[in-house]
Amino acid sequence: MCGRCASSDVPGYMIAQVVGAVIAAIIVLFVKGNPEVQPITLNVLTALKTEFLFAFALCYLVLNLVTSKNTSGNSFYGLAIGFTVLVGAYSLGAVSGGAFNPAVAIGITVMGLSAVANMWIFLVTNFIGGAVAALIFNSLNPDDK
Amino acid sequence: MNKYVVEFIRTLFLVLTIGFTVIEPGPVQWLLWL
Repeated sequence: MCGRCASSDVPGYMIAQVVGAVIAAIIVLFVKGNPEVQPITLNVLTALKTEFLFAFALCYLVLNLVTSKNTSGNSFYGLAIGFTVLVGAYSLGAVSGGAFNPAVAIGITVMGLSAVANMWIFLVTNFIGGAVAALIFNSLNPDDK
Repeated sequence: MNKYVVEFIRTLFLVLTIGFTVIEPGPVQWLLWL
């Protein structure tokens, strides 16, 4: 939506992420000996709000730190993104599962940490969060093409 | 390296980290020997 990634690359990125997440989930289950895992019980409204908020925050952060001309060549983008993920995982892990990314949501669902019935929460909020971040970034930085 | 391979590895390690830290500790002590 910001024009930083060719549309033709998007399916490849999505497939690579989902395959990576599913393989990682299978590896964890195999190494842990297929443990009994209790899926997290979600308050749907709270999960919708928190997942949207951090998906938006992460996407907006990446757009500003990685793709923006104003901060090109910066050396702190990895630290900023990493700490944002850390804050989200620690503060909201028990609230929504702390996926903030559809591929990760698929991974935690395969591991049994989240119920299949809750998958839509992650998909809807994460995609909308990313889209809203792109729209706001575009509106605030019209010259940053 | 191919950009899709990089994305694959990034997500793989992210979900591995989540899985190994969230799921109750199990028979993974052998990893300590690696």
